[in-house]
Formats: sequence, C-alpha cells, structure tokens
Amino acid sequence: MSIIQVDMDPKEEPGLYDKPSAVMPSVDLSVLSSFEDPDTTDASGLVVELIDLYQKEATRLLETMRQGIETKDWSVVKRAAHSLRGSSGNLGVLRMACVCDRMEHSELSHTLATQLLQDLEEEFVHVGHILVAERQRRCGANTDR
Amino acid sequence: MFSTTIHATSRILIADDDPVIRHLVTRLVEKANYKTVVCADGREAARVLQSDSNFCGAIFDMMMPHLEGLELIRFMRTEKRLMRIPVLMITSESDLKLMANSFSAGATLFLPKPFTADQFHNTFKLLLSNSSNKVVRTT
Repeated sequence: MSIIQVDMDPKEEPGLYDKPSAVMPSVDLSVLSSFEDPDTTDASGLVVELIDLYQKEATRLLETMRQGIETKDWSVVKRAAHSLRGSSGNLGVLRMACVCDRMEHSELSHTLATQLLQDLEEEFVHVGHILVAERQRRCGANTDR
Repeated sequence: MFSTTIHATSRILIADDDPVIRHLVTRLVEKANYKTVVCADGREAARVLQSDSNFCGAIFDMMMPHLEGLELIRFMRTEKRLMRIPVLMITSESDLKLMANSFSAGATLFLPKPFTADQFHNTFKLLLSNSSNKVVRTT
C-alpha cells in the first residue's frame, strides 16, 4: 500500500468550510496501481497515460472553475467540480476529490468558491509533485526492463 | 458441418465527457478483447446510434453535456433496433433516487465511481451476460 501523507497543521485551517481530514492522504497510489495490467510487459502503460491525462484535464477544469467564479456562474463551477471529483476519486487523488465535493455540493458565495479554488490549486501543486515522481518511477522502471 | 455460438458483434459503445474516465474505461474494455466506439458526450453517442446499432453493450456516464446518460437510454428504449443493447451507467452520484431513475429508464446495470479494475470487469461481465446479442452461425 503506497500512501503519501500530507503534512498539515489543523491549526491553520480557516473556518470557511471543513477541510479534508489531516490524516487523509493526497494520493493513494495503490488505487492507481490497481489499474496496472499484470498480463503485459508494459505494466505501467495505462497508469502513466492516466497520470498525464489527469494532469492535463485537472489544469483545464481548474481554469474553468476560476473563470466561472469570476463571472459567478455557479453552474459552470459546479459542473467542473463534479467532473474533477469523478476523475480524482477514481485515481485515488483523495483530497482533491474531497474539496471538489464541497465545491459541487455547497451553496457557493464568491468568498467560499474562491477559498475552495485556492485550496484546490494548492493541493494540485502538491498532487503534481507526487504524480510526476510516480510517473518517473514507472517510466524509469520500464526503461530498465 | 459445425455450429458455434459467437457474439454477433464485439463492439461496445462508450460515452463519457471526462477524458480520464473515458480513457480508463476504453482501455479496460479493450483489455477484455472488445472493440470500442468512443464518444465524448451523449449527443455524439446518439448520432452514432442513429446509424449504427451493431453493439453488444453500451457504457454511459450519467452526467454529460448536451445529452445526459438517462436521456440517451430513454432514446434507446424507444427504438426497436436499440432496445436489446444492455447499458451500464457510470456515475459519481451516490443518490439512490438517481439509481432508481436509471433503472426505470432502462439501464441494465449501475457502477458508482470510484471503481477499481476488478469491480469494472465484474460489472462488465455481468452486463454482457445480459446481452441477447448472440447468434448461432452454422457453416
């Protein structure tokens, strides 16, 4: 089980909404690994493809949310949050999924939406480091074969 | 002379607006040795179904732009040539009412996100066991 824990001081949490629990991992890599194909020599192929697609799609959806918040178009914001929640959850990107869930299901104000987006963007930077490291580990492992 | 039971078609129609889940589902279906026809939203899938019914199963996301999964199923259940195609609905909603609506609209199975590869394969197998799309070929 490969779980990377987030260092987070609960004292830093603002009161706008309940942030994901500090013990919740950013990324549960065992979820991603479950999509490996043990029958092929290119065991990490699908996982690397999913990492690349996720990073590209999450970047696009965060930008959509940012634009939606600027224009206070909450349906656009919630739809993007719904989409990002689905792919994040399915790939084990747990904290992103949790904050997206808040974005999707809360009654949004400009302040709350901005705070949630900021948290998502910060978390995405952290997730990016983990996924890039995982991608490199897998591509390196493939090269070694 | 021998007879053998085969799938009239081994094609699966997939519609999901999320590129990550769409790619994941497509690869898992292909791994199970089925061909895929992949659409980025419900409207595109409806367009495909208007001229092509040669599928042994369909996998739709519940929430898609232009035409949602539920509407797509309702459309399929009104067309005689599409009625036999079993449909798996994938959704990140855990709402029981939505699930009930899916079944009453004609969905065959329901797979909530997040799902694992094993959960997907088991559900997919079950979906195809609901397919009446088997013919006996005699040569």
